[in-house]
Amino acid sequence: MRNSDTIGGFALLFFAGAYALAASNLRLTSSLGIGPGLFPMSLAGILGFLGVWIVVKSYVNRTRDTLKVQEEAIPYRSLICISIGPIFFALLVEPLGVLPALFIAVFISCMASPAMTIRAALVCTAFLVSFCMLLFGWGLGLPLELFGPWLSFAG
Amino acid sequence: MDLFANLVLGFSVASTPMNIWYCFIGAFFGTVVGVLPGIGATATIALLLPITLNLEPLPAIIMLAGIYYGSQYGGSTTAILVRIPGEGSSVVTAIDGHKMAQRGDAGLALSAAALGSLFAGLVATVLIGVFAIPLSYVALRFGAPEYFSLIVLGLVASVTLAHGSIPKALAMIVLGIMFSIVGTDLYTGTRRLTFDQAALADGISFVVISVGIFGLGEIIRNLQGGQETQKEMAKINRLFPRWRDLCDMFAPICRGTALGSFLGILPGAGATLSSFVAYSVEKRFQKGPYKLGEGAIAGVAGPEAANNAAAQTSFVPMLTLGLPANPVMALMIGALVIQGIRPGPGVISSNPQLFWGLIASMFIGNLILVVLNLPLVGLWVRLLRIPYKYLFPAIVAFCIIGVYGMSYSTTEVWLIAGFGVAGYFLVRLDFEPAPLLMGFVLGPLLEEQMRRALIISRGDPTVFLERPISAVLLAISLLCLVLMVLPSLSRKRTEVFEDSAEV
Repeated sequence: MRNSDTIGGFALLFFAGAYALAASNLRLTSSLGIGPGLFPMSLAGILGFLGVWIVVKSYVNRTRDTLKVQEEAIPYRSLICISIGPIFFALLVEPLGVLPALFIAVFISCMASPAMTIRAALVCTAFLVSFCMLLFGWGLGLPLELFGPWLSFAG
Repeated sequence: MDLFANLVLGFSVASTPMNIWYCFIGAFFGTVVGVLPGIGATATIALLLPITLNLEPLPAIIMLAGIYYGSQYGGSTTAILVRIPGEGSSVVTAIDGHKMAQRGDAGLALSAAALGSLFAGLVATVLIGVFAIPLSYVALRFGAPEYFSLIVLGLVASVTLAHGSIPKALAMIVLGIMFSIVGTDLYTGTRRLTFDQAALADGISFVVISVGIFGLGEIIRNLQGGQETQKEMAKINRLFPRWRDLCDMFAPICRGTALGSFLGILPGAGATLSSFVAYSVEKRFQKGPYKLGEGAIAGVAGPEAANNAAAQTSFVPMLTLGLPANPVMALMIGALVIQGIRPGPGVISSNPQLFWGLIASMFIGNLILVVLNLPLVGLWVRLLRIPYKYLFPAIVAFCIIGVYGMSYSTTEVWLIAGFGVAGYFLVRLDFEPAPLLMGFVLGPLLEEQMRRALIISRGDPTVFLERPISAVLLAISLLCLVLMVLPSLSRKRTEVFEDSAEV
């Protein structure tokens, strides 16, 4: 990985640009004087300025104290498992219901750790899901739909 | 006396069985997360936010406050016994505390930490009561321009005392503000940056940001750490200090309390910073059989008193001005806003039960913590043996079901996945996520006050400089910024934080 500050600075610049683009349809003025778009636009401007500052600084530092190399691989496994878990829940909760969706989501997340075996993950997931159902459904009284339309055979 | 009557009111609401129960729950959870190294107070409060939605405001805030100061206690237990500081603020405690434990004085170190924290907690609680009212009177006189400048100062000051690069911390604040203004504009009804998603019309929920970045993002980072090592554990013998030990720890505790109470009010890393400062102060007052760094009781009692005092007094700016002194306070503001209470100068008069009830609950909570921590220390130590691989799925499950249960919206579950990944990359690129939270909480307030001021002044931006208080506040903010950027000072600041990182 190269100098992380350079990457970070450019990422900020990119975000500031995208944000300004998304806010470009908002009016800068209104009958009240200042419009809904002024604040977002100025924020994008400030962030862009900070991005340039960080990038410039990273180049200055690079010549001074050589490269600060950070050799760490991106942990694709945990990154993917931890983010896919909630996404599966979001996709499945309406057709399948809370219980199966949570089970699948937590099981996928368990796979993020290489130390976890399938068996341990299953046991762990089953325990956690029942604990969550007890706590949120019964303990806090949230009206959770345990099984969704695809799984309710009665109606 | 007013204070007395107010405290009576506070205790009468805080000592109902239900509120004591939530205080206990908070202190208990706080100790647990303080002991476990993988999870911090910020993440836990973020995780439990959805649960508090179903509570009344007072029990909710009592419980969250309990988690906060409970984690300060728990962190020191593991710092002493196994030299794993559970929280940043107990890093210093690990130095002398663990040396004492190796010498066979683990029990003494634990009780020094507990008594120091208890004393500091009680004193700081009284201080909150004394200082909150005058501060809120000052704040009540503030108009929109003054408030705007005060928020600017608060945000800038929080960068001064945070560690890491300054432009990066500023960028995180701005990023937080940017996320906070997504949703319907209050003045014109325009939908801003919602990309025509109905679920975003009300804005991004505070819970989503905090759960995503501090819950899921942290897990991804922790899993990268890899190997878990079992550390050797010191034996605990005599818990109760002798008279001579009590004498030895009294002065450090008083000094720590004074320091912590003061530093806690300032924005920035209150609890952590104050424990470091207290330690360096104790170095100057050395006395007793052991040197500091070689297992001196003062090196445990002083910093522990300081961090607990700071944890308590950081409630002052939050409750009276609506300004968070640290990310945990930002979360508290978020929790109160969700409950329909906007923390600020009006809270003391409009919600006296909430304000004084919270203060009284801290009194009760500190007592509960001593009972929880000293006799049950064996239980906490056993918690350390739970491997992280069983812990993180539980956090994921809580994140998902908590956020979903808040509004039954799948959009928010999508968002936590996104913020989790974003949170990981932020930390990886050396951007600290804490200022983002501050910006997110204060963003809407900042814009509202700015626009209100500009409407009153008919669009003339010089209003911020014409009003004297506002001008002074802005000048201080500018001064802070300039001083931070000046090379000589920024180098010194780096040194301070590098010193602390080595410990």
